[in-house]
Amino acid sequence: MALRGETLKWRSLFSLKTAIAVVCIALVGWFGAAFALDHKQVFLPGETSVGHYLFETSCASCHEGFKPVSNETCMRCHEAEMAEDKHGAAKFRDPRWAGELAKIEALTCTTCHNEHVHMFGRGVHLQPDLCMNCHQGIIEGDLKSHDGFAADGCWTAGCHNYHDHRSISTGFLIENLDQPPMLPVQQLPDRTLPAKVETAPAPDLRQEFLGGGA
Amino acid sequence: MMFGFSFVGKEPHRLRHLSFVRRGSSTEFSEEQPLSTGAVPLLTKERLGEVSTEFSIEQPPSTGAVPLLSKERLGEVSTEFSIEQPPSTGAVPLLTKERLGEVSGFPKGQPSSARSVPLLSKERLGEVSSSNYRQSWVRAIAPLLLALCLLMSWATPAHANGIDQTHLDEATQLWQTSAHALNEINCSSCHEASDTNEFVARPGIESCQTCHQQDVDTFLLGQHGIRLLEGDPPLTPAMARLPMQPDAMTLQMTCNSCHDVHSVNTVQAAVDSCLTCHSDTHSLNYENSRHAELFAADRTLPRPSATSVSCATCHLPRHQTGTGDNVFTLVNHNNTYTLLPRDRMVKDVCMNCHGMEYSYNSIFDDDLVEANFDAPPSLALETFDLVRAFEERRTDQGDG
Repeated sequence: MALRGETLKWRSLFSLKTAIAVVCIALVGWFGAAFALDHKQVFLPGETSVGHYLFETSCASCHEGFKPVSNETCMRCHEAEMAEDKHGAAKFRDPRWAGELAKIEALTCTTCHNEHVHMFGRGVHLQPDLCMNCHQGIIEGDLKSHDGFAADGCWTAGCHNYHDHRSISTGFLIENLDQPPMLPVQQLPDRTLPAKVETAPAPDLRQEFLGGGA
Repeated sequence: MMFGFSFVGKEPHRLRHLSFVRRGSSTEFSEEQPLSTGAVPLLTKERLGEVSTEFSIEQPPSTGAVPLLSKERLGEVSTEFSIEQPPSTGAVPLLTKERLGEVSGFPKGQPSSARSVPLLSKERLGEVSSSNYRQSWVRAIAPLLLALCLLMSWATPAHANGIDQTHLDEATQLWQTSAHALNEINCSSCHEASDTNEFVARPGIESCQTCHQQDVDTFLLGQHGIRLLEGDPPLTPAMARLPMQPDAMTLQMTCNSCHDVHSVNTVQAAVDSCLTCHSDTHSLNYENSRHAELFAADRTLPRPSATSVSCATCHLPRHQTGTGDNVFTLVNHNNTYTLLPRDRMVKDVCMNCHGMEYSYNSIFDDDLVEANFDAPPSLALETFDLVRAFEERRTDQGDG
């Protein structure tokens, strides 16, 4: 019995414990090597969005340890896009809208813009009908013109821009209706560079370029 | 899903592969025609210099996009600034890529797009080979030199200047009529470290940043520059998800990838530089558009006018800032900013020239976008009918 037990133990050691140990060592080595050799793709939990994939191995760009990604991190790069945020803190400080935050935590970027998960466009991972969290009424009688509109079309069809209403609000559209295809004045900002001097000065380096000293 | 294979590293491997392909022209040649003396005439000092700088890893690949120095171009630019042409420019023809092409009988490329004249193409190697085929000693040395040439292309030391007299003269001439020179930005402004006065052969983005802060800041936020902002090596077309020119896969994205920093000619940066890499249908169809027709008139200017439409007009748009007499025009180098949502492009760009409905009807027509707006829009967005009806109801109520 003892002898048989010993044999069995040895066998089970070989087949199970050793296997587990080997796998563990391999995994640790694998990840360690990946980290050390800067092949951080192995740590990516899923496909990175089109906006971020170019620096997807630079984990520290967005992550500080295992803390949740903060708004400040996003704003490092996206300040210009958020310059006139129509769904920003100012809106939800207003008591009329403050209650809406219970329906969707709209003041945190990652509520709608997660990463490493499937996106529906514009870096949004929530279902396209996310506007219905608060605006269900719009398509159900509150706004006659929008009666019966699809719940998932507000932004996916391009009509509405959640953050920035400057160029796609009703007011803007009314103001610019019936313009001719070509505006009377077609003018982009011009760019002129004044010249300080009329002729170029003598080049002040020469031999340096050819490997010689000054 | 990522565990098994991605450790092998998608990017580094692909990159290595591609850079090998690029050099492959000469490798293939040596394998296929081992007895050919072909490579020898090419291995003059100049060419060695060219090859090693062209393909060396630390060299910013912008050299490919540098506009070639044709007499006409020099003439144009110098009359533009009404400056006397330096005596040397006309008299001593410089050894430009274009001229090299002439000598070896290679058809001249379009002067402004270097991509059409590959430096070390198989054809060119082959062509020269027939003339010196019989010199046996050369035949023996050829593979050695070829190997040396390849080795140099791999292992050019980081601090070697890699600049010869020809390059220097070429750069100086371009600079002499540039906006830089006429604003007293001299060689040392960029080629000397500001703190130590140490010579810098190839100034980087930090150098441009000292004066062009806003341009660099916005560049770093777009797809083109974001890798630099995050401390990664520069973007190369090989990393792109959009179709890119096969010849351009290893080029690196920094300031002088698009800008010729010596001529400071931004007409080239506005279209030709883009098309060095981008080969999607929208990009390739640009030349068929009315926009491109307008841009053709700008070809002789140092920078695009206010009435033409280039790639940069829409994707790196100008905007004005400041007030009163102090209004100046900046360029948003964040190439991703106007892409999505599309209303951003409409307001910032299209509506400088086009009516609002025309703009929206165009930009939401995916086929028209692909065709690079070669025709008026056929789309009629329902939104405008809605808004019109809404406005009518409102005014009716107001009247009643």
